[in-house]
Amino acid sequence: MPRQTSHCGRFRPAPLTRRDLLRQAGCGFGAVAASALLHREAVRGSAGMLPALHHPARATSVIFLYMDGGVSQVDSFDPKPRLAQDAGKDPRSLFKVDATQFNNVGSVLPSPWNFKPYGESGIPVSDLFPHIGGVVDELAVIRSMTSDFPEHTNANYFLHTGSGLQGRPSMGAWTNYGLGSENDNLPGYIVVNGGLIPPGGLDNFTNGFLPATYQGSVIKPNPSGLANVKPLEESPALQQAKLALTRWCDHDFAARLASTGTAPAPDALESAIANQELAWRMQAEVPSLLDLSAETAATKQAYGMESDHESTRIFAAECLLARRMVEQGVRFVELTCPNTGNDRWDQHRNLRTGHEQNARAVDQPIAALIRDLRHRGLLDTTLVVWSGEFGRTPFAQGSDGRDHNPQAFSVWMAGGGVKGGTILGATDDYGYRVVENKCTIHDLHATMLHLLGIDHLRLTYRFSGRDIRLTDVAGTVIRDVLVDRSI
Amino acid sequence: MTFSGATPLIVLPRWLTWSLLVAISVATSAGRADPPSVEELEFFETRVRPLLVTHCAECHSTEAGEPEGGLSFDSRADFLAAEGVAVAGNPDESLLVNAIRYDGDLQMPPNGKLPAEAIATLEDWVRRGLPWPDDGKQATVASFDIATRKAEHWCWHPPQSSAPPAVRNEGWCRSEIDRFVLARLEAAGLEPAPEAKRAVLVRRAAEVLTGLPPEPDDVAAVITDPNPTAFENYVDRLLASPHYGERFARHWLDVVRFAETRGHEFDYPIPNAWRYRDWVVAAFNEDLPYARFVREQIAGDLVDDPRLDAAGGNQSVIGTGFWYLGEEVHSPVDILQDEADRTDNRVDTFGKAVLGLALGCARCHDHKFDAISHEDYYAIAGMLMSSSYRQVPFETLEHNRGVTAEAEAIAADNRAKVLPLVAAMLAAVDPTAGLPPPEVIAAANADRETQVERAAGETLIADYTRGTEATPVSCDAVAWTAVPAGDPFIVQPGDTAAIGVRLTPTGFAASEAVWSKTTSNAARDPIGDIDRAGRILRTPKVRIAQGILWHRVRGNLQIFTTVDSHVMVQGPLYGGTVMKVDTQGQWQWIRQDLRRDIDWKSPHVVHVEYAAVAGPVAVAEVVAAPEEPSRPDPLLAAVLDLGGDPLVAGRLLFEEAVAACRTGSIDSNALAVMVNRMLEGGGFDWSQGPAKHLAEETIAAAAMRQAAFVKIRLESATAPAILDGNGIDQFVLLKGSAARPAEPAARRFLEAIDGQGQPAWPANSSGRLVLADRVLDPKNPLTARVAVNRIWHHLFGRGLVPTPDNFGKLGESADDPLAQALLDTLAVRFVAEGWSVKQLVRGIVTSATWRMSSARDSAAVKQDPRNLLFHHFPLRRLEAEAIRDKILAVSGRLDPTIGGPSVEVFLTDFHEGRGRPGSGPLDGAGRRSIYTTVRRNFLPGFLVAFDYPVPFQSMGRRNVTNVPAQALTLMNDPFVVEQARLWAKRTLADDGLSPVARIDRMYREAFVRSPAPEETAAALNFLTAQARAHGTDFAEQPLSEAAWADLAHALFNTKEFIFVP
Repeated sequence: MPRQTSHCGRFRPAPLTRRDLLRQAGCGFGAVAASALLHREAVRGSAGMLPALHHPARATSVIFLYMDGGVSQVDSFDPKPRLAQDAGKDPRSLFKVDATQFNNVGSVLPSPWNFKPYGESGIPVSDLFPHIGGVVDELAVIRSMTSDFPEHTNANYFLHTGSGLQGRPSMGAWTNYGLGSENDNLPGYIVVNGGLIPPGGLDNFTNGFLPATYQGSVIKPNPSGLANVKPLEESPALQQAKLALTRWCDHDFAARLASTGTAPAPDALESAIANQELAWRMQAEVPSLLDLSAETAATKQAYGMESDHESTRIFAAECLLARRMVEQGVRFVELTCPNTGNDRWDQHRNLRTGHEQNARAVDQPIAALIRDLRHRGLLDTTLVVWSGEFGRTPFAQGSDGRDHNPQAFSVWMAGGGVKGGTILGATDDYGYRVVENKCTIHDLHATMLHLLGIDHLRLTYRFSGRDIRLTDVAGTVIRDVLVDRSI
Repeated sequence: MTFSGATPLIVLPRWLTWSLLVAISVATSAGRADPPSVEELEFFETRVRPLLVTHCAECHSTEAGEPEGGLSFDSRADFLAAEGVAVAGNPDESLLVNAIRYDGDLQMPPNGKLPAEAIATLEDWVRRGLPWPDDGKQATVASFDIATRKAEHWCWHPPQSSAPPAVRNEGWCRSEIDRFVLARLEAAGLEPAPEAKRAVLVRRAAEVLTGLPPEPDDVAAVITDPNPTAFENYVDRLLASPHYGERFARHWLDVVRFAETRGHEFDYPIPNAWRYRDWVVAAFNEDLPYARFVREQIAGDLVDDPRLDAAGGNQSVIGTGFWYLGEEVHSPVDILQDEADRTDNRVDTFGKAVLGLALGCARCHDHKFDAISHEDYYAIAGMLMSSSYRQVPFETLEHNRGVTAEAEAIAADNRAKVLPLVAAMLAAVDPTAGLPPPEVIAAANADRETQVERAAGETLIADYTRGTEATPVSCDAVAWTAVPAGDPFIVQPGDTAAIGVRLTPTGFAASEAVWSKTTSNAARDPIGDIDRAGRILRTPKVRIAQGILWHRVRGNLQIFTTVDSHVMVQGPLYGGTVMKVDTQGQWQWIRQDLRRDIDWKSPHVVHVEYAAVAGPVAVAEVVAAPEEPSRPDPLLAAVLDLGGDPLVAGRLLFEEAVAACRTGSIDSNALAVMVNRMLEGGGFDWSQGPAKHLAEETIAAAAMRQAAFVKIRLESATAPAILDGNGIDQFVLLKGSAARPAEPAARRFLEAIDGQGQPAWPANSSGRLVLADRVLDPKNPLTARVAVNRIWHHLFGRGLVPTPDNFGKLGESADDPLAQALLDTLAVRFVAEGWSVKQLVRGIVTSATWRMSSARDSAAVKQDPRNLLFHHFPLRRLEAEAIRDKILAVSGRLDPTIGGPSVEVFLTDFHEGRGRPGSGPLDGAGRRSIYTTVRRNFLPGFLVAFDYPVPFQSMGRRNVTNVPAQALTLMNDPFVVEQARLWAKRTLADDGLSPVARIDRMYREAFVRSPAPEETAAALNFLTAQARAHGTDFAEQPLSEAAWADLAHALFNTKEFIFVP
């Protein structure tokens, strides 16, 4: 393939890629993943498309805690006393109000929760998240996050893929495409589904136009949680015998495709044969990964596995699984929220009950996860990101809900090169708009890739006539939250 | 009528906005004649340059790629090349300063305002006249020029037919294709692989052409057929099979991002999208010429020779469903941006599918590499914005068109016949009897100015009161007709005592009661709760700037004001765009307030769709206005227009009215009103003379019309389709943002193909029919090439141009001049031979090239590892659908029915999310995969594992990957296990066979060959061992279904099953 010396200025030139190398070496277009898989036996951990990291990585794995529906920033990490002063006033008399999803603008609504400073950093956290408050010195809270989309689906795609439209690869897919996986027997991008698939569906976790190897594997937090991972045969021997016959046939078939001399079998065929071996191993590996029975009682209790609330128990299992996956070298783990019966974090009404129950489900497990990672020495190399797709309005929708607000919301990061105990950015007196250090989703993605040792401008894939990146045509690393700003 | 209000469409002055585009052409005053002083240069180096480097250079530098917006701070020359960025000496008029102050739309740097000190420094720099040392460097930013771009890249040059090159091994060649291929091989010192065995060819041809394995009986017959054209004959049989159409339709569905739902949050259905799918299947099966195939998709609603099916249904219009297969969002907060996004998907899909061009790249700026300008993009976008979505009752369209024409003719005949009778009756009437009293006339005269003022605040959307002069009656089928002023009607039909005739005092658009009874026998769009298909009156599209609409209507009807072509009315927003009214038979102004749903800070393009709920309905006018419009009596207005003595004017008008009646047509509101008043007040005796005659004729005509309406076919299937409208030019959107409109782009085709200064396209139509002409014009270098390349791609697994959706610079070009010449030669011949896809397929498949064995020669592989020269037939993994279909075919479960409504997706626990439908059956009812519902948010797991595309944009070349999910699927998917059991059952059904014969049959069904002896032995061993594991003795019970099912399952898992040799 001819290299372009320059191209659409919105996209930076890609380096000579591993894919190109493979292609020149005679592999087919889609054989990359397979080639990588084939070489697993020799090299622990398959390579991604990047021949080398762009700079030293601080993190090797990501755990993305996805707060589906949009947590209210003014009720979680961005206290706004002014809301109490102006309670009940028409927000339009106080500031300019933009169109919202429901356009049912109520009065200024103070937070029903108190905020307290926690830890040495004294970062204020609302009473919704007392456990997270306990690990606040590990967090860098970004109060100035923004999104481009006020609707769930577009915003979800945007948060996951850097584009508001369907079909682009998810950040987990990009990460694996760039870095490869560290475990032969497990997918590199796993979504642990707590019960809610976000609006926009499974395409939030898609590989898009990247090879299917990089798609998110959706796993449920129970031992048979991966599609088709459970053999249907009555005994392993029955299946093994089938696969033995198949393998025998396949080698025969491959041999017949060389007409003269010692032409190797086509790569696609070799890879397909190797894949079957991998699949066979996954049948054993995945269920054992998902089996939490070996965890100690103390660990289970710390995560909340014994909670009175089912949703807390589910999210506790998710967090525990996330740690186990990171231990096993899974590159990117995403957790989705359990169903608390409140339609995700999307509290257009019943703010108090909805946010309380959602927070109760995730608060203890998340805090336990961070402590556990720290305790095991994994937090330094694991980037934990907590984010919804947007925030909520500081004024009411109706009387007791909040509408979508993409103009300002809070996210936090921890571990993996992130400077704990940090607050970055600020919103106005009402928490409605960002006034300082505005950050975008592209910036968040750029920062995540940066910590993984990737320059977001140089992780590209040519599709549809363009070299496309996770950060589209934007993105700046948010250096203020990094331990080491110099890289 | 277009919006002409005062809302500024351009946020920044024009010279500034254009500077945001890539090439900047407006003069600047940056830079001065006299060189800057040493102090000034020092100021620049110590204060300014560090700021530029720290805050701007990340994007505005060639170091990191092409600089954003064409602005680079790398050198003085680069900075000056980006003209219009700063005005030396004048910070307040400099875009640069504007941007860093965050004053306007453009805010730089994007991630946060600079510290005040830095802003002050840069302001100072501008004020001082932009001092910057000249380092002698040249500007590096290139500009956009269509002619240069066109000259530089092959795809813009028309294809030329070439004589096939000379080859040494003439005997190998079966067609001219082979000469091109062989010449390349010979030049490289390679030989083509030998011809594949007949059985391999049969399998290959069946699976590539129909996506199904060959019938075992066919195999035997073809293999033993001594006829030298046995293979050609078999190919013809395959091309005649309806399964060929299914197979090639599926390829095309990838290209048009076919889906049956709209994705987004709730994955709402696109009702009846399967009609389009069946249309594509039929098109391939009928070998519809490709040019026609494309024409009908672009403008099948507008062709003057629609293809009718046996029942008289219009087939051509179904092709236009093409435009509406994309995603759609309900309740977008920014509806203008949403329309821009929807339109973008259509433009982009059109460009890739038909032209192999990434038109979408020109949405934000001129294409960075190809000869496509920013304006080209919006010129095409305008055609889509001028059209609108509908469900078309294609079955009854043509039939009912005839009935409507008949009814209109009856009405016209009646007018011609009876209006002269009216003239006769008027002979005895006082000419001024119809005039309003003098005081009314005087008052109206005094009020005239106010009227004029008030009307100035209105934007007219449609006016049906003046015949078709102001607004043509446009509808989604044929349910509406224009009723002119002066149309006679019976006052109270059925009441003989009150019988009498009146004339309609004004023109209007009318829909007879019969039309409110239409039903579409399939799913419909949920706008309101009535069946709208075929009942819609559609006004022109008009750009308006105010959110209150007034509709003058009569009857029980639904009003749907389509804003920015948004049709996904599902709440929470836009509920106000749909309303139902019943005026109880009276004319009424209905107020519609769209201010809650839509932000009117920017103008919006609207059109209105009226549909009858019950009974006859009529529409006179619709305007956007803050207050209820007031319409003076037309007769009064006419009198005042004439001026002078009202009585004289009245007399004059009376004479005109009588003259008009004599000609049989009035068609003037003023005259009709006058005559009508006389008919009302003239004290006519309706039981005798011309009055009686008039009444009788009018009653008779009404009866005839009713008799015609009985013939109307009320029930029709519908399909998604496009509806044409008046032409609306879309604005060029800066950076693709709907919030930043610049100049409108006149609708036209690409400048690189059609040149500059084309005549204006029709104002009364979107122009899609012209677009189809331009796309299919012999001068267009792309359409035929792209089509031929797609076919080659499907037949070989790789196109001569390896990127079938992108022939532009960023696509991959044909490997060498011979490959290019082959593509061009085939393209020229394709057009010359009438765009027959079947003929093209046949030509390729029967070539010696296609018949090569897939066995690889080690030397050839070493020299050309990617097989670019085609030294052997490339081994291919079957596509997702073909794998599943083959499993069904082999198991015997395949239901070969062609077409019809889709079968729901089988859902597992992993299919979650909003809009989750009920699950379909595990085996998809045995139907081919093309008939599984394509739900954007719930794609079938089995197919997705094997690279079934996510339908969001053209995907002419699918990924072919190897992932463990594929192996896991074949190993553990309950569908596969179930089919294995069915295959075993079928294999055992025939009592008389030995196990060896059964194994042989399974091999022939799966692989189109008999097993080698060692394979048979291995299978027998396997059966014995599995039977034992299942607790039976195979020697005693050779019909053990469990063991045979295991064998079937193992064979499904072999690579030979899913790879076509």
